[in-house]
Amino acid sequence: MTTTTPTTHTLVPLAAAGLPATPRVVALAAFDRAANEGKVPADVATASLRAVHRIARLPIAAPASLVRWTLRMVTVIVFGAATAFGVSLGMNAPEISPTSVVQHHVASSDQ
Amino acid sequence: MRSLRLTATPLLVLVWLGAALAVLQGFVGAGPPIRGGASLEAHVTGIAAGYGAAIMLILMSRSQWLERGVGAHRLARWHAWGGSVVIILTVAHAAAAVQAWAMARSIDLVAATRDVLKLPGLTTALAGTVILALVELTSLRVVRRRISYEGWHFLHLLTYLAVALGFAHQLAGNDLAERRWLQIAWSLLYTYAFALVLRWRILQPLFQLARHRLRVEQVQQESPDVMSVLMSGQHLEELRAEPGQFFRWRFLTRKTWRSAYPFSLSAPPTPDQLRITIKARGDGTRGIFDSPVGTLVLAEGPYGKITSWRRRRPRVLLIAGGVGITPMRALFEVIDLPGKDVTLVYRASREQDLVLKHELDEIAERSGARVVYLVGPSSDPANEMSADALSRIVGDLSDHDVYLCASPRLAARVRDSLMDRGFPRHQLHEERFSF
Repeated sequence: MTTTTPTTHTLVPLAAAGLPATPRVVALAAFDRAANEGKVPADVATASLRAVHRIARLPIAAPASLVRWTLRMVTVIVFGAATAFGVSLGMNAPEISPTSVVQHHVASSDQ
Repeated sequence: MRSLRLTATPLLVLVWLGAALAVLQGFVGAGPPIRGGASLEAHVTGIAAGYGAAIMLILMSRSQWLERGVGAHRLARWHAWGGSVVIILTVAHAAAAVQAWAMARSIDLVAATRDVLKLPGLTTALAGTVILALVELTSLRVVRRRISYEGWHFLHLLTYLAVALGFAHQLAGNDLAERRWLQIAWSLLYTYAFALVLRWRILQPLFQLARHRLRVEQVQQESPDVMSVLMSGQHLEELRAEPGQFFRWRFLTRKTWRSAYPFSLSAPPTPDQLRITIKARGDGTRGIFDSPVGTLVLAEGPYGKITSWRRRRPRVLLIAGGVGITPMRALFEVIDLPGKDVTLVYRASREQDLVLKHELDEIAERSGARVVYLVGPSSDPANEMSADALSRIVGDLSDHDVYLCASPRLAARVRDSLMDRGFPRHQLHEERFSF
C-alpha cells in the first residue's frame, strides 16, 4: 500500500504565474507535480482530487460582499432564464384549442 | 442594500386580484354556455385551479422575500387551505369537462372520458390530477396520523410533478389559446414559480452548504427523548440568524437526507456555531440523533419572526411548553431590558421533561430575569395557563410583549385566553410548528 504525504501546495504560485486558478488548472498542476516527484498513478489521482477539493473550498475564503453579489447575479440569471423560457413556451403554445374546434362544431350544428 | 420583502396584506391583494382576473378569463373563455352550465363550470374551475396551483408553488418556494415579510407559519396555513381548494377545483374541473363533452356530443360519460383523454396533454393532466388527489387524501388528518412525516413529505414533493404534468393542457385549453399574450403571461407565471423554487429550495441550501460548511460537532442528550445538536461552520454571522428564529435542517446521512425538518435555534448563534434541540417524534428525528460527528448539514433559513426586535412594551413574558422551550431559551439569553423585567414561564408534564433547565437557571441568575416552572398535570390549578393565571405570575399583562411557543393545543389555549381578555394581538409573538 502506498502512502502519500499531504500536499502543501497553495494557489499562490498559480496566481503569481498568471494562470487562472480554475479547478482544471489546479488539478493539472497537482498532477504534474505528483508525476515529477515519481509517484504512482494512485498517488497522482489522490493529489489531483485533493487539489480539486481545495479549489472547491474557495468560496469559503471569498469576502461576504462578493458572495452577496454572486448570489444576486445567480438570482438575476435564474429569473432571466425563466423569462426567456416562459416567453418561448407562450409563443410556441397551440394557437387553436382542440376543445374549441369541437365546441364550434357542436354550436354550428345546433343552429 | 435593503432586502426585498413582501408583507401579508399586499401579497393577499395581489393573489386575490390575480384570482379574480383568472376567473373572469374563465367566463370569457367559456363563451355562451353550450347545453347547460357544465361547460362554464369546467372553464372557471379549470383556470382557477391552474392559477391556484402556481400560487401554491410560490407560497411554498421558501423565498426569503415572502418568509421574512409574511412569516413561515402564515404561509404554511395559507398553503394548507389553498392547496385543498386547488385540488377540489382540479377534480371538479375534470368532472365538469367530461360532463360538458358528453352533453355537447350526446354521448355517455364513459365514451366522453375516452374522447377527452385522447386530446393533447390530457393523459398527463389526468396523471397529475391523480397525484394531487393522493396528496389531498394523505393530508386528511385521519390518514396523516397513520403515515410517517417522511412518507407524507415525499408524496408532497410529487406535487411539483403533478403541476408540471398539467401545464401543457392549460396552455392548449381554450381559455388561453388564441390569446397569445395570455399564453405568454400564463407561462411566465409558471416559470417564475419554478424559478423561485429553484432559487430558494435548491440553490440557496447548496450555496449555504458550500459557504458555511455546516457539520455536526456534538450530539448531547438533554432528556430521554430530547437531544441537542451542536453544529459548527464558517461565516455563520452572514446568515444574520437571530435567537427565536428557525431553519429547515437536512442532515446528510443515508437515513435522513430526504427530509428537511424545521427546528429553532436553542442558543444564540455565534460566527462558528449553531445549536438546535430536538424531541424524537418519529424515525426521521431519531435518525438525526444517530448522526455521526462530521455529518454535513444543509440549512435553509433563517426563518421566523419571533425575535427580540418585535418587542414594543417595557416588559416581556416568554411562554414555553415542552420542547417549545428551544426558541425561548435562545431569546431568554438575549432579551435585555432595563430592570431585567423578563419572565419565562415553562410548562412541562414531568420534571424530566424540563430540558435545558440548568441553562435557564444559570441565565436567570446571571441576568436577574425570572423563570417559573409549572410542572405536573394540567388538571392541577397551579399549572393553569390562562390569562388570569399568567397575570398572577407577572402582573399587568398589557405592559408585556408575550412570546409563545408550545404544542398546538397549549398554544391555542393560551392564545384564546389572552384574546378573550382583550390582549392586543400585535403584542403576541408566536411561532407555530406542526408536522
